[in-house]
Amino acid sequence: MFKSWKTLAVVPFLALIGVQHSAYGRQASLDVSLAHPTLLAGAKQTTYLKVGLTGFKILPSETRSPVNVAFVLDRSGSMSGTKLAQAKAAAIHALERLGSNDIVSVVVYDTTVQVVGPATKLTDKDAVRRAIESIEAGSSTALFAGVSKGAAEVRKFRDRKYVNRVILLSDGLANVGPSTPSDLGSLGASLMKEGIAVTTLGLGLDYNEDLMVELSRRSDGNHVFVEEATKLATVFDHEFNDVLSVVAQEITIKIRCAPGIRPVRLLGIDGEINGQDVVVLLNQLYSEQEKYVLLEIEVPGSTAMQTQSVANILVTYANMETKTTDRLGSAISVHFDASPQVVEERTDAKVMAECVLQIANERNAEAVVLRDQGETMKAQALLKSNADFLNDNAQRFDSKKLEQRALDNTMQSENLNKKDWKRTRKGMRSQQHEDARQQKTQLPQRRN
Amino acid sequence: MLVSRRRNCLNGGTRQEIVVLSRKQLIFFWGMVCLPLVVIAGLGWRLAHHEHDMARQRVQALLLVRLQDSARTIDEYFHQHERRLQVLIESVGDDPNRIRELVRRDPHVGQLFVVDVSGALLHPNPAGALNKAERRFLGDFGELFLHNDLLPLGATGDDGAASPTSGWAVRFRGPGLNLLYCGRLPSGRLVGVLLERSRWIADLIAALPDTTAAMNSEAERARIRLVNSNGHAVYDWGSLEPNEDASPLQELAPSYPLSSWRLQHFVDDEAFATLGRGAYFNLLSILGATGLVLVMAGGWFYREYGRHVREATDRVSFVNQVSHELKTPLTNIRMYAELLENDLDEVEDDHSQSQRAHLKVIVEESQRLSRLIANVLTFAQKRGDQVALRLRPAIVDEVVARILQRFDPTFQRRGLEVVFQPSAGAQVEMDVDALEQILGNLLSNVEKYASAGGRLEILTSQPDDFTSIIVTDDGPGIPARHRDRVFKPFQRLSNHIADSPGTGIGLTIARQLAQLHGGDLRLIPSASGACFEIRLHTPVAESEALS
Repeated sequence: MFKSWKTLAVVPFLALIGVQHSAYGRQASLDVSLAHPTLLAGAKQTTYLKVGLTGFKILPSETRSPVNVAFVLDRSGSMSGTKLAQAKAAAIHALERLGSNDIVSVVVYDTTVQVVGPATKLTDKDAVRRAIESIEAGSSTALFAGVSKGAAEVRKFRDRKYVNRVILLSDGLANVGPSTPSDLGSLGASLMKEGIAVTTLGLGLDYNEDLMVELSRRSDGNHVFVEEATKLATVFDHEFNDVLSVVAQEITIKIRCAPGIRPVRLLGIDGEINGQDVVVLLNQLYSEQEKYVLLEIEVPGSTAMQTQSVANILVTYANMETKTTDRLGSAISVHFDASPQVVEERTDAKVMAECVLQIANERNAEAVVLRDQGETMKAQALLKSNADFLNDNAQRFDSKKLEQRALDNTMQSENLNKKDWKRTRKGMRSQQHEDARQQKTQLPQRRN
Repeated sequence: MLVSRRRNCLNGGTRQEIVVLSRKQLIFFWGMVCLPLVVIAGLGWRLAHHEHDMARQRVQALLLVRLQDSARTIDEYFHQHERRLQVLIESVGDDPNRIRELVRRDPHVGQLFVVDVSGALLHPNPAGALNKAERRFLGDFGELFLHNDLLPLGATGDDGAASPTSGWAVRFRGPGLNLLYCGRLPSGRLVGVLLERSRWIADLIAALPDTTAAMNSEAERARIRLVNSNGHAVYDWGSLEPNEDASPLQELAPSYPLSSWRLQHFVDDEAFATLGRGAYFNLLSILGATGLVLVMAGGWFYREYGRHVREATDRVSFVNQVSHELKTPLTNIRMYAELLENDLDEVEDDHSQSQRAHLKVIVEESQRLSRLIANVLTFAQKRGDQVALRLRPAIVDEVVARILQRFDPTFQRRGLEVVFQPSAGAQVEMDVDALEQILGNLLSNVEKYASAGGRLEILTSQPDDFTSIIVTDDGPGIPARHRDRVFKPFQRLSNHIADSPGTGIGLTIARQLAQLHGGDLRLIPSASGACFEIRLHTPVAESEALS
């Protein structure tokens, strides 16, 4: 894999060059750009490098990739009644969208775990339906064990050709076995290495959103805050829209910064920064979805009209359509100009808007920390200033998304009181996850 | 006064004796019933307890086998891991990019580290560019390398024995136990893997059974729990929901490196409680049955005994009544016979001589009958505590003489020589009837047993407040071995009806009356014949004392 760096090194410094290894079929498209393609000559400065990957479009009529999914359902005491009934109905409804090439397993947990439907090809839909219908409410919440067993079921048929996924539905706190966000996060990270994503659906207002979000974040899965059990069917629908439209899996984005360029940090998505090398792993890419990585870089000062090489980019992924490993390569450089006006004119509004979204998202997370510490006033002030920041940039970069987030931040700043905090916090945490990982599925939040 | 007090005292004593006797009987009866029950219960309980213990041990042995199964699953997991990790360790080279790629791709690996021969950390190199995860690793485990904790691996000890070149290391950091697998390569480098904690826990959970599987393989409700070093449950399976304070019936630690964790087996307390309870139930039914039989038998015996006692009492009271009814006509017969005797005394002829002889027999026999009835009545009264002394002033010698006179015809007919040496002439307080009865009983014995032509000696004396009357005959006497028996009721030394008539209560009553009178009746050992001493408490009559 590292040999390709040498290949890239001889490629002239041209932006947006795709190195195509698979001769047939469609590919994801790679977009490498800078927030400021032209920098002001002179002093050392900071800008953002964006590496975006967009999935090709697949039509519903096309043969999609088979999925290997484990439903992990919480049947703890708190789920009893409507919640469990709705969850069962939603899961059964979701089954309808799957076919005999797909693999489904059903795991339920309370204090203990029951694999009510072991992983099997969905040739007998009725058996799985009966397994789901037989679920009854129990007692405690062994969430870790439930996910472990669910992942083990997925692992039985784990293959690159499948979309491997665990869908966890819970309305409560994990209270049996490992139960900290970091315990669940590590598990998620380990599953991600195997290409298994965990989608977490938090039902009601009593689940532990930190734990659920961490599990999804580290495994690159979706997280949805489902306040009303009646929405579950829609949520499952959205989830399967995603699952059934995966076009690429096991995506590795490697950015090698040119000498002199210092990678500072990644915005939103986590990754490794090893000196000049930055590595970001993504679990999957959906049809028509753009997933991007924003890297803050420090560029040394230079004289006007100079061109400085910034980075080489290499992306590898498993193409779900062609069943091959695709490689995409690119390199990018930056120009220097003496005129601030030119610099301003050439600023990439789209990339800037994305950067603003991520920065505002980080501040939003800080506001949650402040509110958790009891600093309600400070949290409120931060959210309000964040809203202003978003509004300013929404106009500047003409972004509807930023406008929406400005509204969200204002709304959140008004709902920090004790009564609403539980709901607001869940909304904020799930939104932070959506924005950081550019989640496709986004359930419109109920506005108070 | 003194006598009457003593009498009361004696009466009280007697009554109490009878009450105590019946309570003793009651205790005896119930003792007979309860003692076997207690013995059976004690033995049975021990047996049942033993049975329960045995059952518990059997169950524990069974549970241990199941836990061993689970422990084997855990051990196998780590064993397989060892082989895999050994390969991984050997494939780790120098290139930090390659090492990072390994960490990035291997779902089980939390971090990899390489230490050179001198103990210096090559990767992650603290002096190089570290990523976040590497910095966190050095923060948590850096001291391992400062203190060269892992150096002994593969080193040759002082005794020349080489320690194993690879193995597990267990460290407690952060949320709990962390596992590291380290190995020394032939180059002398030490390569180690920090396993992703959540992952090996998740793998163990995946390898161990779930509740559905447990329910299919085990009929009874049970719960097996994997517990970490802090005693917190990591993973539970089995359909039983034990109480929070329930303690496991069996426990087992998996092998190293997870030896600080425990597998615990819980069983249904209620189901377990009934285990071996069959023995208790059997015991209980045996006890119940035995108890019922004993109580029934005891009750039956008690009732029978009561019936016998009642019948005997009825018989006695019947005899008593009959005797009482006989007494009046007999007195009349005696009276009229004596009157007739007096009348005949005035007529002197041959014819009257024979009539007088006949009449004498009637009088004697009626007297004898009177004594018999008196004895029966006294005996019956004694039983019913109704005997009371009627004290009045009298002279003992006179009473003795009167009685001797009454027996005179009989003695004469049997040719008995009567020697009376009176020296109790003082007027004393006494019950004349009682003395008459005592003496009458003694003399009637003499009449019955003493040989013809013998000799009867009666000596009276009055030392202090007592009167002593010694009656000696020269009959066959009473053998020494029978001396204790003669005063017991219904004891006759010969059971031959022909031998001598009598009821067998004469001496008993005589002695009882003497004792009631503050004295006693004793059999005095003598060379030949029988010698009785009557001793009565006879205070001097007040009128006499005054004069």
